[in-house]
Amino acid sequence: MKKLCKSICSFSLMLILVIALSACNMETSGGNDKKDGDGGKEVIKIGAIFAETGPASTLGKTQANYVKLIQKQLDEAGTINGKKIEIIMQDYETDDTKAVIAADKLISEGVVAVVGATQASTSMAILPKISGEGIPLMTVAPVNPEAKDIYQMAPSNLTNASLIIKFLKENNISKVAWINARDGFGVEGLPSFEKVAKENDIKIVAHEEFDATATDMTVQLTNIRKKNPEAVIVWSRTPGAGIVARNFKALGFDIPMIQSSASANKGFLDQVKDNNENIYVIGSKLSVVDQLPNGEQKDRLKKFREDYRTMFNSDPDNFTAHAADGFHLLIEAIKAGNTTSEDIHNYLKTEVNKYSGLTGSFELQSDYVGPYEDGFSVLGIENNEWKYYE
Amino acid sequence: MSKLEKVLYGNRLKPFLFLVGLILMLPFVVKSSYIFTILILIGIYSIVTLGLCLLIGYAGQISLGHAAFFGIGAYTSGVLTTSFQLSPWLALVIGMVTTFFIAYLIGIPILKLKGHFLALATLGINIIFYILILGLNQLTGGAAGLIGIPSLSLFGLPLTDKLFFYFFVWTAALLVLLLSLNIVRSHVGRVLRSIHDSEIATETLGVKVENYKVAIFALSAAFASLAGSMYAHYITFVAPPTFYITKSILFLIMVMVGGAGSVWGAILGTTVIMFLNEIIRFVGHTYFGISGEVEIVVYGLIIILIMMFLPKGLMHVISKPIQKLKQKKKVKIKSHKDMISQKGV
Repeated sequence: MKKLCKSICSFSLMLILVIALSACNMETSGGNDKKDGDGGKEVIKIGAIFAETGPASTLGKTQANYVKLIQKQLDEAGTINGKKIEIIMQDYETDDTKAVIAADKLISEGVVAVVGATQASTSMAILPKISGEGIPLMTVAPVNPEAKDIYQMAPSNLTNASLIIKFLKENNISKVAWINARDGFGVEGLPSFEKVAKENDIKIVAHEEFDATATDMTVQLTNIRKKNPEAVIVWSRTPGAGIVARNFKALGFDIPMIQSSASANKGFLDQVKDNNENIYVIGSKLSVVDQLPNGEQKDRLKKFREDYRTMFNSDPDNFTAHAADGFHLLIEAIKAGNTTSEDIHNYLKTEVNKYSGLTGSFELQSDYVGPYEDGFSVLGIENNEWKYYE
Repeated sequence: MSKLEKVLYGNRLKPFLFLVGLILMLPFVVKSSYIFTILILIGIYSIVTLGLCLLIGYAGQISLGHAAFFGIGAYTSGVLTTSFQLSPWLALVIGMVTTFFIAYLIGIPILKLKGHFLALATLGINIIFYILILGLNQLTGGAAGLIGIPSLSLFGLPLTDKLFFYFFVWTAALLVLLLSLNIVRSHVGRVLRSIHDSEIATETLGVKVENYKVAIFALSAAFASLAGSMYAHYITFVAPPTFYITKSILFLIMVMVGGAGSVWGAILGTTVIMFLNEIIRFVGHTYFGISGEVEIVVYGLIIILIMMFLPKGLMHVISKPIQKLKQKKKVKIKSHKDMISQKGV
């Protein structure tokens, strides 16, 4: 009996060792590929780092799905200039440290570019590693506009702020309250808005914060009510964003509430179901594609949505579109014959200028960070569906 | 005396040399920067778990707040080097000293608590620290995190190269290990063990138990701070979620899986937990096509199984057969001698 036990123990130990070693070797050979590949490689690897699980998966899940979709499309389309494109997806579980490990793994695998990460803070965490290797990083979150060597696919907070200001002016609102989640996304919104608000004589009469995982924000909203604002602006991811909206309705506010683009998803619509008048969201036109005027943009967005629907039986949101824009730009660079990180950097920095993305048009050679506001709009909710205003 | 020591604590030289050999050899085998990052993080986390092991395994006190001390180190280094342009080395030392004193002061009242209450109090420290770094956003960058932390450099040699950083981290980890081994073998170690077994009995022997408990708590916090500073300089970015309770629990799991009863268990546990996640991901993706949520379930399941069937940790599983083998050898020699003496008779 003891002998059996011992042999089982030693066998399992051996097994673990073998698996670990094989894992190591896989990585090592991946690292070697890069060196071989500079001459003439058959497979071009693109990395992806998204939060498929963890708290940020409300945004990252559809991005991870999209990787499967685009890989399928690429496989069906065949090779580009005789080369196959392979996307290597890494889930960072909404953990910055794991994202850094994932970035190193992708570098070892020899990727030529990386799309990610889902969150702004994580993008900043992986930036030094990735740009240190000279690899272009296409972030899908609004990062600090001063960050270098990073291509931002999401509209900047400044773009979002000017959309809100436009809406406020149209509705003759000059006193607003601001409430945000105390996380990487939530705290980045206010500085940009403050700047644009000052230029347009809009006063921020109250500023409240809540914990990103809080489940009740009535205290903050009650504080806001005392200051008599004419509109409330919320800067938070779901589910926090939805809870604020529900509390807002429960407290009987009759002023408009404007939410950030992080709320422009199905989860938020479900959270505020049947009690959602006067709630507005900065949303991608992708969410209201059927209501758009006929044109090239509508066709492009519709095709994107239908492709996603057929594969996953659900709708993509603007975060999926940010990821898609990142991949499309890279694929375009590769189609133009750029197969190394350096060439892709060069292409993005000097050759390509205007690019019509799913979330708006980009002008990569200008100082403008992210896409222009033409892909976004302030959306209302009608019959539990997004409503587009011309 | 040396024989008694061996019986009591086992040989320390052989496993230590084995570890040194392993650390020196690995760079020849491993070439991928991904594995290097994991090895570096294992080194960094080992420093924390070594301290935690002294506190939990030897002194019998629990801490669910070590991520806070890890964070104090990381943020002290981060803030002092970015906002005040201090030398990273000086910042590292300031971080350690500050953390030692903070932990000492906190330790005086909270280490009077026992069991679950102590666990909750340390948990509270972690939460307070988390809220502080979120709230002091002028200094810490708040939820957006602190960017632009410089890398370390040694004698003009920048440690941005993974190989250098790897050796640097493991040299520090080995020093901490050596220190821990010596503490365990000293009279302090014996006092700590007797506190673990019975605080009242130790006190009746005339030992001021509180002093020892607080000192070891502060020391383990200083270790965590050292690790935190290294983490900050390695990743060059820190954000609050890294220092939340989940990290404290992860440290605790590392110690428990490795086996809190032995200093070596801390390093083993850290290594196993760090690789477990990556292996599950690799095996799951390549052979079973699973992803995301399923991986986390498998990971959790393995930890539950280890806790259920190996409550003394993995170190116990490894050390037991070795000890048995030694005993068998001794018995064999003994019986042989007996036979000779019998023949003589």
